[in-house]
Amino acid sequence: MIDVEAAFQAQRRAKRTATLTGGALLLACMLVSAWVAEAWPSSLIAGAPRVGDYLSKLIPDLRPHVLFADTKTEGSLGYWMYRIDIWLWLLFETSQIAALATLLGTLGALVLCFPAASNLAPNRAVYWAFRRFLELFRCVPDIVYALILVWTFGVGPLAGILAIALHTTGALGKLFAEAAENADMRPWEGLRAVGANWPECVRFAIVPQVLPNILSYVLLRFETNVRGATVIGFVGAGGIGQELYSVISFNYYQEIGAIIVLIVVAVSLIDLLSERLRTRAISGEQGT
Amino acid sequence: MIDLAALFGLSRRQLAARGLVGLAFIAWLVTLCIWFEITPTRLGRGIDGLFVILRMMIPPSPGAQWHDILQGLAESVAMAFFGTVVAACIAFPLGFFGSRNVIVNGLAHFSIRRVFDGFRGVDQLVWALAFVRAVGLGPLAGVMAIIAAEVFVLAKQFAEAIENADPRQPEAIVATGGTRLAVVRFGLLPQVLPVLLAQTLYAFESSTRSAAILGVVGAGGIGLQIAERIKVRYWNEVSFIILLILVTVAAIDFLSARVRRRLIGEASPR
Amino acid sequence: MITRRATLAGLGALPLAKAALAVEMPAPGKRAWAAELPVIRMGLLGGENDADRLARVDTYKKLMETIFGVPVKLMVAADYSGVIQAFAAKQVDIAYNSPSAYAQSWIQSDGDVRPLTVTQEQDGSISYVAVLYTRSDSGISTLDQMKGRSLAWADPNSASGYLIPRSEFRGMGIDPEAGRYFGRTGFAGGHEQTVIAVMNKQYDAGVTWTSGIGDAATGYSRGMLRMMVDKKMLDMKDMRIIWKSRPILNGPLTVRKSTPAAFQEDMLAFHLALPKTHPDIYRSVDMGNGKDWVPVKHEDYQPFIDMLKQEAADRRKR
Repeated sequence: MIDVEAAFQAQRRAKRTATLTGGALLLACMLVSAWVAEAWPSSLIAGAPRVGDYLSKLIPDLRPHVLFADTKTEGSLGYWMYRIDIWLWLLFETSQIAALATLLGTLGALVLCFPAASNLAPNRAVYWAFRRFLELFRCVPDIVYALILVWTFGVGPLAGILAIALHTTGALGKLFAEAAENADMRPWEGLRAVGANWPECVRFAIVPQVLPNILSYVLLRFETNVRGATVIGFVGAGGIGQELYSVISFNYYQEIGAIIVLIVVAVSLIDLLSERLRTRAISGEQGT
Repeated sequence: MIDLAALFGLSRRQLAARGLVGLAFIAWLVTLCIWFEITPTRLGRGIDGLFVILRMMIPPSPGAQWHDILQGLAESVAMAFFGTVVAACIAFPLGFFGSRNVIVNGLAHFSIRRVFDGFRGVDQLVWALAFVRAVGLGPLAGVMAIIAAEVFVLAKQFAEAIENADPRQPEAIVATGGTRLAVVRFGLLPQVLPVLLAQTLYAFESSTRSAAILGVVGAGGIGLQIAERIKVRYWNEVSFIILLILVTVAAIDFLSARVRRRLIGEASPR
Repeated sequence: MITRRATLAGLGALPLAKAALAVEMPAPGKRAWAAELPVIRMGLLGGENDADRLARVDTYKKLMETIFGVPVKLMVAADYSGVIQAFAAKQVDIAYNSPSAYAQSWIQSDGDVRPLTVTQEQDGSISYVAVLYTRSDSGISTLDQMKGRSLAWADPNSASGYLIPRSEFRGMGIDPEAGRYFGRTGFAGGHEQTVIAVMNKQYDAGVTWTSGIGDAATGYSRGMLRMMVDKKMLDMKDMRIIWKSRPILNGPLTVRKSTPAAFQEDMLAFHLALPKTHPDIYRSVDMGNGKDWVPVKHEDYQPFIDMLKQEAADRRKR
C-alpha cells in the first residue's frame, strides 16, 4: 500500500530542499559576481542620484508658451531639435546600413545554414564544422568586428555594414539551421529517391517549408540590426551613432537627449512595422 | 522569341510586376553602394588587408598582460550574471503590468507596452555611456547598463509569456473564490515561472556576449582589453581573447541548457 | 617652500621655467590624507600609446604606492571623454589631460579641477603645435587649396585635433563646419586613426599634434607623428605639413580640487621631483623625449575654456 500522504510530503520536502539549495547557490553566485563587478548595493545606491543627475540634464528645457516658436527661441521644440534635419538624415542612413547588412547576413546565413542542420548535413563532421563556424560568427559582437574592419576598410559605413553582416550570418544561420531541422523530411526523401543532388533537394524540398520562418527571423533581425547600427557609429562606422558619440563627448546634454528620443521613436516605428510584416508573412503562407 | 512569361509560369502582368520589383531592388543596391562608397577597389583592398590581419592572428597568444584579460573576462561574466538577475527581479512585476490578463484596460496595456518598446530601443551601449558619465569608469556602470537594457527586454518577454498562459488554471482559482492575488499566485505563477526562468537564462547567455563590448566605452569587462589590443594591433592577442569569449559563452550555453532542462523537467507532471 | 612654488607657478608660462631648485621626492610614509582618500584613483588613457606602456606605467604606479603607502588604482578610459566625466562625478582623483580636456573637465565639474604640472620639452618650451597635414602626392600645399576638400578631426576633446585648429581657422575667416569652407569633415576615432585615414586617402587632410621642434623628417622631437614614425607606421616622406598653429600649452597633470589639500601638494612635489630622482620612470611615463615636469596654473588654461564656450555658442549658428 502506497502511503500517498507520506509520498506527497516526501516529494514536497525534496522539492523544498532543491529550491533552497538552488537559492543558496544563486545567492553565492550573486555575492561573488557583485564583488567582481564592483556592484555593491552601497555603490549602486550612491550611484543612483548621480545617474538621476545626469539623466535629468538630458531632459530638454521646454517652456509651454514658446513651444512652437522658432529655432532661436529657447524653450521651443525647434530650439531643442534644431539639428533635426541632420539627425533624420543620419537615421535614414543608419536604417539603410542595417538593411544592407541584414541582406548580406541573410545571404551568408542561407549559404551556411543547411550543412549545419543535423538532418541535412552529409556527414557528422560537416555538421559539426559548420555549426562551430556559425557559432564563431555569432559570438563576436558586431562592435568588435567593426573595430577590426575599420583598420582594413577605413572609417565609414562600409566597415559597419560588413561588421553587422558577419554577426548576422552567425545569428541567423543558427536560427535557420534549427528551422531546417524541424522541417518535414518526406519531400526531401522523395527528391532523393528520384536522384536529385544535395543542393537541389535543399532548394526544392526544404526551402519552401522554412521560408515563412526565415522571413520572420530576418525581419526580427533587422529590428536588432537597426539598434546595432545606431551604436556602430561609436567606432567610426557612420550613421547616427557617430553623431551621438560626438555630442556625448562634447557634453551637449540637450542634443544627447534629442538624439536618443529620435532613436527610440525610430526604432519603435520599425519594430511596429516589422511586427505587422511578420504576422503577414506567417499568415500569408498559411493562407495559400 | 521565347515566351518568358510562360517559361516562369506567370502571367505577363505578374512577370512585369516582378521585373519591376527586381529592377527597383537593384537600383536600391546601386544607390547604396555609391552612397556608402562601396567600390570594388575598396572591397579588394579591404579583403587583402583582412587576410593580412587573419594571418597575424595565428597563433593566438595571451600576451604579457594575460591577467588583465582574465580579470576582464571575469568582470564581464559577473556583470552579466548580476545584471541579468537584478533585471529579472525588476522585470517580474513589470511583466505582470504589461500583460493583458492582469491589466485588462486596453489603453493602459497598449501604453505600457509602448513604454517597454521605447526603452528597448535604447541600446545597451548608450546606457553604458550614460552610466559611465554618472558613476565613473568601471564595471559598476556596465552592470547598471545591463540592468537598464535587460529590464525592458525581459519585461516584454515576461508579459508575452504571461499572456500566452493557459487561462483555465486562473479560471479555476476564480471559480473556487480566490482573490486576485491568489489567482496570480496559484493560477498563473506555477505555469509561467519555468518559462520566465528559461527566458532569464537565455538573457544571461546573451548578456555575457554583450557585456564583452561594454568595456569598449570604459564600462568594465573584457571589451576594453579587446579595444586596446586592436588599437595597438596586437592581433594574436585579439584572436586569443575572441577564442576565450567563444569558449566561455559555449560553457555558459551548455550549463544554462542543463539548468533549463532541469527546471522545465521539474515543472512537467510526472 | 610655498613662496618658491608660487614663484615657479608664476613663471610657469615662460619657456625659461627650469626647475633650478632641488625639489626632493616626498619622504615615504602614510599620510594624514589617506584617511579621506584610501585609494588614489588615477585616470589613464589607454591605447593612445604602446601597449607596453601599461607595463611601464607599472613602475610609476608602484613608486607612488611605496612613497605614499596607499594603493593606486589605474582607471583606463577609452578617450578623454571618460576621464572628463570621471572628474565631474568625483570618480577619479588625478589624471593626465590635454589642454582641451582640462578645460572641459573644469566646465563639467564646475571648477573642481586644478592643474599641477606640464611637460617641459628639451628646448625648455612647454608647448606644442597642431599641424594640418596631407599626403605629399595630394597636390595640396596650402590652406587655400583645401577649399572644398575633406578634413578629419582627431578627437572631440583634443586641443590640437579639434579645438585650436577650428579657433584659428575662424580667426582667419574660415568656417570650420562641414560644407562651408571644407567639404566633408568627420572624426576618425583618434589621432593615430586620423593619420591612417589620411594616408589611406579617406580624407584629404587631418590635424594632429607635434612638438614642432626637431627634425621634421623624423616626425619632430615629440608628438603623434614621432610616435608613428618610431612605430614604423608612418614615413614622413609621404606626408606634407601645410599649416602649423600657434603654440599650444602642454596638457596638465590634473588633480581634483575636492581632494585634501595636503594630497594635492604631495602629488605636486612627487611629480616635480620624479624626472630628476627617477629619470627612467619619468621617460616611460611621459610620451617622448620630454625633459622635465614644471608647475602650471589654471589661468594659463582660461583661453581654452573661452574657446570651448565659443564652440558651443557657434554650434547653434547654422
